[in-house]
Amino acid sequence: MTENKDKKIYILIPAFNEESQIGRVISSLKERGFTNILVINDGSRDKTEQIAMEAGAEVLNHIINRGQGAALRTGIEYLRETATPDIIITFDADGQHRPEDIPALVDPILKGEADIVLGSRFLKEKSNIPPIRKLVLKAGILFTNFISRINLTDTHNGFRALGKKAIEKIKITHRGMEHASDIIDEIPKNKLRYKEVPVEIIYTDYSKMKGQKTSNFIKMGIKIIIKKIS
Amino acid sequence: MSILNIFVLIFIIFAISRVLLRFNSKELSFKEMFFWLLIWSSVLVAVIFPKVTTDMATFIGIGRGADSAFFISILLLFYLIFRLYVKIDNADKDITELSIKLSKTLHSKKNIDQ
Repeated sequence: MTENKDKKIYILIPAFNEESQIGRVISSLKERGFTNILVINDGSRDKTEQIAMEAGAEVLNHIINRGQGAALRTGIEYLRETATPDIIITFDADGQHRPEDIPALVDPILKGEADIVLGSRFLKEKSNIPPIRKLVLKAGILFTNFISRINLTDTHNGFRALGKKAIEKIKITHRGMEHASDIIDEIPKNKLRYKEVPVEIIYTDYSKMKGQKTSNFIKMGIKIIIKKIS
Repeated sequence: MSILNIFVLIFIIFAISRVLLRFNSKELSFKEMFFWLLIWSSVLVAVIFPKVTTDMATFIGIGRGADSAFFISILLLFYLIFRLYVKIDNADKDITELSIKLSKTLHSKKNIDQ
């Protein structure tokens, strides 16, 4: 990995009712040397805030649950206003992402080859994605690529690295999971250089329960179309 | 004039008075007041002169007067639902904006207090 001691890297974690995983996720990031961790507690009704703070993260609270898109917006705006970050990594709170993959994700930005790097679970030769989920994800990818006119292998992966230009330019308009399409829309719009790198997603019963329900993808598609035509 | 017509007339007068009162208290904009007055006065005309609906039906190309009234009502309902959708969507966006701003403000206040 390219030298990154002088670069300010922040890990941004949106979290909603994640008391059972958030502590472990933050500790695993710290073990890898990532100390700037910002958790957006999105109206959780459990001990997510307390556990995240005890684990050593900075925590911002949404009073009510507003969705992952809104939580990411809060985090990016807050960091932009207070910290002048060089790179922001968006990371899931449910333990789906592996901190080991972060160096590969930030590398193209550190080398000046990309403004935004997207994690892709389909670039790995061996993937452990459940078959139905794989089918739905592939349909979602085709749909998003068609709408955004961009070619990606994985469009709904929450594991990304945003460089300075992306941090400054990207605008998230959907408050829910549809924000993933917003971010992709913003790439050609702002002429951002992008790259995909393989990452591994850990599917556990917990992450499958917490993550997107397969049926939600249809709802998301309809919302995106309405937004496009209205 | 049938009893039903009288009831409908009373209702329309009530509705028009509500529109004017709400415009007076600035709850409705001029455009909105105009829109609602137009709607209720056309209903008023249709109730007092039912023949108008038949003329209009023939003009649009629908057989009976009552049918054209249904046709127009459904269009109007669609429009109103669309407006409601836009309003709810805007309110939802406002709540999100508030949550984001509030979370940042409360956090910086906490930092100052510490």
